[in-house]
Formats: sequence, C-alpha cells, structure tokens
Amino acid sequence: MPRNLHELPAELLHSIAGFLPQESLLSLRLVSRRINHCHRLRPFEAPSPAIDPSPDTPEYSRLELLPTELIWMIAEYLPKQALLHLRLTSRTLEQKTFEPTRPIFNHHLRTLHTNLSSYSLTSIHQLATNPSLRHIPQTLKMTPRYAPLSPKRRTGVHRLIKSPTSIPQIRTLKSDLKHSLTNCRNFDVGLDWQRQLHNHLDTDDVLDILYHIFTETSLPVEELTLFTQSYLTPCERPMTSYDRRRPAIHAQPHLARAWTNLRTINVWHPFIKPLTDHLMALLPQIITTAPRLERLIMNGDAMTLNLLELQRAILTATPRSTIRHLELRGCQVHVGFLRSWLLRNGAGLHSLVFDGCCILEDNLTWVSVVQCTRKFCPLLRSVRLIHVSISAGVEALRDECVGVENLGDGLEKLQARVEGAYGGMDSNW
Amino acid sequence: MSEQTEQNAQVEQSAPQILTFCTNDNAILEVERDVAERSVLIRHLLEDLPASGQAIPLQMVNEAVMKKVIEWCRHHQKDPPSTGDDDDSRRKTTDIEEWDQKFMQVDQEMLFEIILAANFLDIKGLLDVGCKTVANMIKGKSPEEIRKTFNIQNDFTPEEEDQIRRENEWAEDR
Repeated sequence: MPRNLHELPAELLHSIAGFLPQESLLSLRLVSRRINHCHRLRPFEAPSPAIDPSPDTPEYSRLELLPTELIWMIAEYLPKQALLHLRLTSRTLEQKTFEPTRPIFNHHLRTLHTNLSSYSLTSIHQLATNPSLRHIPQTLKMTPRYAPLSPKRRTGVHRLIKSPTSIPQIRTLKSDLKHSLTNCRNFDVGLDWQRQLHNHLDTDDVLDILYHIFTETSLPVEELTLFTQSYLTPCERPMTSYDRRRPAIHAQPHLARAWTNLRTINVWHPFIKPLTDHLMALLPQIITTAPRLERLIMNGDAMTLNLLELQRAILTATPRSTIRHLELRGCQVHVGFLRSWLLRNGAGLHSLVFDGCCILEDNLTWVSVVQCTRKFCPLLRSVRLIHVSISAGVEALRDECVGVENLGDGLEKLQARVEGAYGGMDSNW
Repeated sequence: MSEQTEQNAQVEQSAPQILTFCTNDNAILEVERDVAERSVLIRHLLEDLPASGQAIPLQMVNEAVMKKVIEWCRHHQKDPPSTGDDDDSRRKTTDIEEWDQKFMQVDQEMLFEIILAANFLDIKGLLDVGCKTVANMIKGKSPEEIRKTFNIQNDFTPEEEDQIRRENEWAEDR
C-alpha cells in the first residue's frame, strides 16, 4: 500500500490535483521527481498558464517511462553498440542508461591515446571538459609518429620542438592534465631511436614535451612507462640528417622537478642500441633524482644484449629513494650487478620478480640469487621466479615465496627447491 | 506453541487451491495457487497472511495484463524456480524459446505492461523474457530506427546530440 504521496498512482494524483489551487499545484510538482513526471506525462488540469501543458511538452514513449532499474535490466541484454545507440535516442534514455554504459567508458577511456596530432589533442580536451567522464582516464599513452613528416606538418612539429608549450593544443593538454584529468597520472611513451633529425620528431622531442608538462604544471606523475614503439621501421630511415643541436632531455636543467612524484618506472623492449644508449643516459638520472620512486621494472626479450648494458646502467645508479619492488622480465640477469645492487639497496626491498629470465654468468645459478636475497633483503615479502631458465634456456623453473610469515624459512625452502631443480649442483656463491 | 503450529498447518492444508485476484479495473480472476505462486510477491503474501478467501487486490495490474501474466505462469508452472540473483556481469544471451516468442507477440502497450506487471509481481522468468524482447527490438538498429520503433521523440539539442555522439566515438574499439 502506498504510504507517501509520491507513491500514489498517477490517477489518484490527478484526482487530488483537481482539488488544488494553482500555488499548491506548483508546490505539488516540486514534491518529487515522480510527481513532476506524472504531471508531465498527463498534465494536471490547472487554470494557470504557468502550469498549462505547453504545446511542446514532451511526450514520452513507453520505453522511456520504464523505471530506471528495468532499463538497466534491458541493457544487460544489449551488446555495446546497441547500448550506445540507445543512449543517443533521447535525454531520458541517455540519463537512464548512464550506469550501464559506465563500464564501457571505463574500459575505453582508462588509457587515452595521442600521437600528438591536433585531432587527438582536441579529442582529449573535449574529454577533459566532460564532467561525467573526465575522471576516468588514468594513463596517457603517447605514440608519436616518428616517420618522416609531410611539409605541412613539419612546420607545426618544428614549432613543437622549439617550444612545446607555444603550441595551443599542448598548452591546453597541460592545463587539462592539471585541472581536469586529475586521475591521469601515468604516462606511457613510445620511444624512437634516432635523434636530432630535422624532419622527424624524435624521442628527445617527445620527452621534452612531457618534461615541459611535468615541470611547468608540477604534475604529480606516478608512473612512467617507456617502450619501443617499433624496432623495424626506423631502419628504413636516413641515418644522417640535419643536426638540430639541441640539448637532449637528460641534459635539461631542473630535470628532477619532472619526477617529483614518480613511483614507478617501467621500460619495455629497448631493442635498439641507439635507443638503449639514450635510455642509459636518461634512466639513471631519473633514478638518482626521483625522491619517491618505489618500483623499477625492466622488460626485454632475453636475447638482446642491449638490455644488459641498460641493466648495468640502472643497477649501478644509486636511487635517491628506497626501492620497494624490482622486476626483471625477459632478460639475461647479470648476477654480479644484481648482487651489488641488493647489497646497497636490498634493505628496503619488499618484492622481487624474475619472469622469463636467464642467468648470464656461466658459473652462477638462481641459487645464488636466492642466497643474495636471504642475505641482503630483511624486509622482503615476496620473491617470484616465473619461467626462469636453469639450463641454457631449455628447462624452466617456476617457484615463488610469497606472503610467507617467516620469510627466512620460506626463502630457505625456496633455495632448497631451486637447488633441487639443479640436481644438487654446487652453486654456492 | 506447538498447538498454534498445528493449527497453522491445518489452515495451510485446508487453504483454497484456487485464489481470487481483483485487478485495478475491478475484474475478478481466479487462479490456481500453484500457478499464482510463480509470483514471488504472491507467494510471500500467502506465507505472511492467513488465507481469508477474499480477493487479493492487485492495484498495479489490469485484467488484460493479468490474464496474460496468468497464461505465462500456467505455461511455465513446472519450470524450476529461479535461482535468485544472477551475478554474471557479462552480457546475457537474448535467445527466447519459441513459445515465449509467440507469447510476446503483442502490441508495445501490452509488452511494457507485462514487463511492469512481471516486475511488480516479481516473476523473474517473465521479466527476463520481456526485457529480452525489448532488447531484441533495439539490437541492430540505428538511433533513428530505435526512435521510430518506440516512438521516442529526439529532445536533444544539436549540441547535446553531438556531445553524446562524440562520447560514443570514444567508446568505440580502435
């Protein structure tokens, strides 16, 4: 039985409205959305033009009049495209499909993509001005077109290179990141290997743009992922070109300001030697200056030696902060560098991951790695060895020691299991 | 206490197997208890209230709709009871069995009344069929076609429509 006025059937509300003066009718409409809705559906008869049904009073279809929870039930049966079309039909249905479409937008907008084209930057700005969606993006992925530029684009890119924030769209991006896209604090940057080419945008240029954005807005960047955008196409490019003679990003003054809030640095597939050289200059600088850096992640392909050099550069740099997580994937681990790093930085380490790695030194095994962790990492909470190769990449070992209360015992058992995998081979170090 | 329970059990046994309902247009309909109990609302009502033999008022449903609801419940009388909440967040299939498809071949007015009645009476199976039917009417259509199908008036301003279109573009697979 209805207990409140707004629970009464529309017919009864109309009957009641018939006895009310104009002021009370207006008040009645203000009581609740449903009463107001009943009025709009079948306007209360009233003498006042103020509440007379105007000729353009919208007529609602039966679908629009369904309670929101029933629209949600229908939405559960709709494929994405149909749901998006439904929200395009009318304001009411757009509002009533708000919740069911959230997961779709969350999925698609969590990572924003830009190739630094005017179109993509404008699109990001439009999203930044959308109050219901602008909180979704968490990551900005920049995949610039490093290919040769058309003459028309070249002018714009040269302006971009000369002073990134002189470009209105970059200025807007900077402002949007600071004021509107406030959850977007992770940056994925596609890198290229060639530098200082007149007709190309290069890695330094892109990092320079980010640098300007980070430093000028004091943006609290939390995660920086540097990945190789492509390692095939650059080979088709000219090897020599006009030298723009601009200091590389790692030579920028006040670089440290850009990494003030950086928590994670993630490097993916720096296959190409010149790019590795570039990162070897940049990454140690970040590591030695970022005051809040906690997670170091390196992904390679296990075959390239470039990563080994990069590994050396990263593991020999002295972090300004306490590193809590070290993760090496798909690379040859130089146990010598690692041991030295653990000796200096292992005291604060909480987790260690090796995935798809092998050991570089012939005379050392994973037992040595576990021994080092037992010796130098008192706060360690988890060690994961995932598909690590134990004999020339043929046999793989999967073992882990995670969340063990008595980590000392856990590591001892892990060491015993790893030793077992080597068939009792003497591997003490 | 045990005497009371015994009395209740006797009342239960002697409860009429035919229930009477009064719809909101004052029609009186008689329905077998087993059929009516496809409705969770009615089942709970019968559990909570002693059988009085009086007509049960259904303020939200008219005679024509109630007859359709009863028809569906009678056909699905032997179906296993619903397992309750589906926590499957994936998109569900819109397959409808043949009898239900024919059952739902009604005008839109009746279709939406059936959905509302199924929701009010808490008949999950019928509600699902109703929602699937509407979903099937929406699927594969452009916004304009959906508007035409359901007689929806486009009340967006051109700017608003542009905005929604742009949002939809962001949700497209790239």
